[in-house]
Amino acid sequence: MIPFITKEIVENRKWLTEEEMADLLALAQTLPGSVAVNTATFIGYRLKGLYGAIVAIMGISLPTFFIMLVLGGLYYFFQSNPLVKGAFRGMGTTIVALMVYSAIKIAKTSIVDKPTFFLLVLSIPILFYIHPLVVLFIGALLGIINWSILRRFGFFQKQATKRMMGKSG
Amino acid sequence: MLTDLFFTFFIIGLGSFGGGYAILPVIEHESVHHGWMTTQEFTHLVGVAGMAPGPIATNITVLVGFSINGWLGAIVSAVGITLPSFLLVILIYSFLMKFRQKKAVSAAFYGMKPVVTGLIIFASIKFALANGVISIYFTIQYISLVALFILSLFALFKLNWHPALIIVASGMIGAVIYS
Repeated sequence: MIPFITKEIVENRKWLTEEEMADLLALAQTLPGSVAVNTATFIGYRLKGLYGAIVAIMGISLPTFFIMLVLGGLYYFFQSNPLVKGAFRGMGTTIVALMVYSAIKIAKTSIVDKPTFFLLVLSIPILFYIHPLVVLFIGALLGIINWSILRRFGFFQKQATKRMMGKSG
Repeated sequence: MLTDLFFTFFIIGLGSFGGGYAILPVIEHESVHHGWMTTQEFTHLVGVAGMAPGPIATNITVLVGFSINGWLGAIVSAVGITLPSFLLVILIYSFLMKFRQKKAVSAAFYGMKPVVTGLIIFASIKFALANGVISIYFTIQYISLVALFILSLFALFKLNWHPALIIVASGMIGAVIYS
């Protein structure tokens, strides 16, 4: 999706330069939400202000929105059909496989040292008891605390921040 | 009901860091706690959402909204989950183009990304339990589910198939062997 947007915006339409696009992408990744949707909103805002942002976000969201309405309608219409029931049994398994796949992929960039590994192992049982958003927030907080402690003892700083900045965010 | 949908998804949208599958357990948690659906029904909807293009989190949000309150619920939920990032994009653009260089942001992500990973693992355990992929009974059906699971992983890692294609393929296999 992202290479597709970049090609269209930078090469075909020449709305942004490559550097501008890289900046927007980095920013879009930092914010909550889908990177593609955030990038589209950024581009719209960059080109035509608030109006451009609204048009861009509608443009990128509406096609899938309508597809989802149609698929959702079909699902609720056919959900008790035995063939469809069987299909969803099979699909549920694939969903789990997809999650395992994306967990492994994201682990490659998120688990960079012992503290991050420890945080991962700790977070899984905790998630069964505490609201996921709270755990996410605690994780961010721990990251900042860890960083400010390292900064205070300047001794570790160079190597630790290098590792942090290089592989995360 | 509509305001409940809106605010639930607005909060989720605010916290949807990491994107994709990381936010699914949050939506699942809220949907089940509100009594909107069971984990199993939610997994079905994830299957539907995964077949379409677009961010899976927004897709699933549209489906949950649709199942609760028809197309109006779908619109309200979709706007709810999209609005926080929309507002943030505009806010950030207005006065913080150098935001990404702030070391504190990287530090926060350093701590948040392992939790995002944990979230996805947590979600896969939950969904595996709800869909019988983890079970203590070794029936023929269970063995076939595990086989399908391994086949899916193989298609993802080795064959590099598109996820939507694998979902459709396993749906077809499922329709044949489980109906």
